Amino acid sequence: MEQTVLSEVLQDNVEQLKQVFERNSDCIFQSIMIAGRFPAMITYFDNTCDTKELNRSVITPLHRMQQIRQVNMDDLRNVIDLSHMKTIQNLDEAVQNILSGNPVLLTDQVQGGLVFSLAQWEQRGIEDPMAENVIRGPREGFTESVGVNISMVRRRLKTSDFKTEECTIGTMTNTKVVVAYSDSLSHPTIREELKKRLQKIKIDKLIESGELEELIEDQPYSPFPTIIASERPDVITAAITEGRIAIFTDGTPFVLVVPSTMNSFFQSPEDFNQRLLIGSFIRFLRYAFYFISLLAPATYVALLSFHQEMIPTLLLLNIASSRESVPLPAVVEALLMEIMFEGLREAGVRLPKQIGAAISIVGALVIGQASISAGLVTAPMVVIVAITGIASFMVPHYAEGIAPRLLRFPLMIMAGTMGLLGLMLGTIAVVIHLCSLRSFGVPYLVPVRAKDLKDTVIRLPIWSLDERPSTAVPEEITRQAPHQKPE
Amino acid sequence: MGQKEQISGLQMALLMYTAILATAVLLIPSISASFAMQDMWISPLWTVFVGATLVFGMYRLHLKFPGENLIQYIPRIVGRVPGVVMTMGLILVQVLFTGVIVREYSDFVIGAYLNKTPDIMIMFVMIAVCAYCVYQGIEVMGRCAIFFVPIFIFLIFIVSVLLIPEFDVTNFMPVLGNGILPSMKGSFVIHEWISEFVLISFLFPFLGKKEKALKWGMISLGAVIFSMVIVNSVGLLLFGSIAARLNYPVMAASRYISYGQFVEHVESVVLTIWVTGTFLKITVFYYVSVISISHFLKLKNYRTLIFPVGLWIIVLAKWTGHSALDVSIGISTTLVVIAMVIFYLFPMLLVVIAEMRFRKPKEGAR
Repeated sequence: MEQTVLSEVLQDNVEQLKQVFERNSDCIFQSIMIAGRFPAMITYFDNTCDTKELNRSVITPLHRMQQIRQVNMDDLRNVIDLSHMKTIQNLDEAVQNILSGNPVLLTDQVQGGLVFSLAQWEQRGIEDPMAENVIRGPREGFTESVGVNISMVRRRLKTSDFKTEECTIGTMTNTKVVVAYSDSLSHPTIREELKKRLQKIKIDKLIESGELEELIEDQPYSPFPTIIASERPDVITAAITEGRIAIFTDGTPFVLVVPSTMNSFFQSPEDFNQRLLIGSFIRFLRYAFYFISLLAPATYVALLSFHQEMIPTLLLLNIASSRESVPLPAVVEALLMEIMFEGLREAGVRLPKQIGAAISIVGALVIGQASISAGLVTAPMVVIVAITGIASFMVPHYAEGIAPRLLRFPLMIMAGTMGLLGLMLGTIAVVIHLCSLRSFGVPYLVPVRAKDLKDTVIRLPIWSLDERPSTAVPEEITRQAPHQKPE
Repeated sequence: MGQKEQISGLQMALLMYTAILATAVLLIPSISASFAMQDMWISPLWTVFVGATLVFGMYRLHLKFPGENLIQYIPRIVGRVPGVVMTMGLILVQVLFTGVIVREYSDFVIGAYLNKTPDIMIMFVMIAVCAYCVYQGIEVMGRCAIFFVPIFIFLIFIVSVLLIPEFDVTNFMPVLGNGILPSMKGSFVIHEWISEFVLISFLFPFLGKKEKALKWGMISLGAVIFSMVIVNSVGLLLFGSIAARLNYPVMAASRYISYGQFVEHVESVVLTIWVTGTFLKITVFYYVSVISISHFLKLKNYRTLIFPVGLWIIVLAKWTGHSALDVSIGISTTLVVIAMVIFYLFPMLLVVIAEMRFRKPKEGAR
């Protein structure tokens, strides 16, 4: 694209700018007179910049300039009370800056223009992270501003080793995407691969990091996420110290982390904030309930349809008597209830807060109580569905937790047709799929080294975790000095 | 991302371990009991010689032809025409054995609890899952092995431990009462499984660390023989001389497990976990068959062969025999001979020829 150089004649520049911003009612062209003699023009979009600061530090000093024969760039820079400004030479730069919220000053008889970094949008303050709650740990979550988010991580990582590289994606949105990593720890090959994948993206809009995730991940046709999205600065900080790479996207509080393996989705920052034994126990519970959320309904269906002998006799009698009045076979009953539950859950997310409570009452009463007394489903099935529902919320990262929701249905059908054998073959297929997944080249399910198992189903004490997880492919594996167990 | 597929020594050892043991666990106790009686637990030990020579021979060939498998170097050892004949023989037997394993699996499942399900259905679902794994390649197979084999070993372990109250140690007596001959006879059939170690030749080229190849191969062999001794001992301790009359002694044994009126009737669970082992076994055989054929036909990508070979395996599985009885008679007679000749004597012959023809490791073999 040919670049139009800004001319020395103010009138020409202004006309060109006005042509670009034709029919933009919120674009402001403010004429001023420098030192009361030299015409100049400040252009910006209303409500995108700090006008108070603009008046105080730019316009007022310019007005008050005295005793000059002619204006030049150096004089202007000296007189203006701002730390962030830069000189630009061509029209495109000017347009781009104005669009980003930075006012541009063009002066008659001066080559080029001045840009002031005064962009300021209305934005949300720092609040609790909504999707990743912890009992003990920092309370702040990322916001929609990429600058603020990076500053939150930088506050925790006071080292020059922490690097941030910026690029823009989206021809219309020009979304700022920042790749942040530790220079000495993160693996150069993965960094290059990531940059290559980012450069390949040619789309018009990038609004949320979910779109970015789909465009750069290894296997998009998988129910399992291979990239972590977190809105917690402490999670991102920890990931960077392990040698992983974070991807910040402007306009969303969710920051991506690569490479991410299955295990890292089960780690909550809280595990290391809680006491050792409790943390380990909770970690173990998470894995156990993950299996429950995947397998519970299918196992129940298999036992009820094929392996009644495995159910203890008394329980079997109870189930049999409750099933007496139910016309549906177990597998249909399970599918029905699970779909109902999924519907309720989705409705619960979408409903306005005021009537959310109503839905939960309706859900509990109608699905739970009324359908049992109406003889549509059995009470044990409701218990199973409820347990499954709770279990899927145990995983700290929502994206990983919803994968079993999808896989439950084929497994239930397998269990309903071939019993435990079908269930097992279905599970094997899921495991094969997990084994075949990679996150930026790192195997997703099975770690390469046995040492990586120290921080998986249970977590060992901090002093025994002398090495960074090799699943993050760090350049330097040693994390801390050995033998730090308190005496 | 583009680089060559690799597995670790442990993954190779685990793949071979299940590739041998999955069906052996079920069938070996009753077959060896019928020859060796109370000495059946000694029988697996006699297979050490065949197993060790086979693994060592394959390792020697691997050193001479690094990065290649049996099918690739047969023609270079014996020449083109005899090579083609031997390769075709090997491939046919590999596919046949895959079929037999699938048949053993379906017979067992139908006999144990899905009595009314058509066997074609049971075979088809299993082959579909295995085909998916074969499609994903050797790396995924290796990782699946890491995931499943511990579960499988845990199964053997837990069944053995839970059965301890039922054990009768006097079943061991008299040790070697009739000399060593019966136990050697009992080991005859076990050689059928041990000779399947020839498949390790197809895994060696994928090893990341070449120097560990022999070590892990031998560890795998040792683990297999040790596990067979354990399984035979459990069968013997539990059933004594009637072990020979039961088709699947381990399965029958698991019916004995009963604790606190809650852990009862676990045979379905045992079967379910056993399926993971069988799955790996079929996958390894299936994979080896497929890559053998693709090397034989000099195809670039083996994946196109997965579907036709899968169908072929099912056909062979059906064709193996009219009934489960037919198959089990075949396993302890004809198939032993076929396995010994094709899986053991042929490869050992190759080793001898190769040792004589290529004294020094050939440089830049391609």
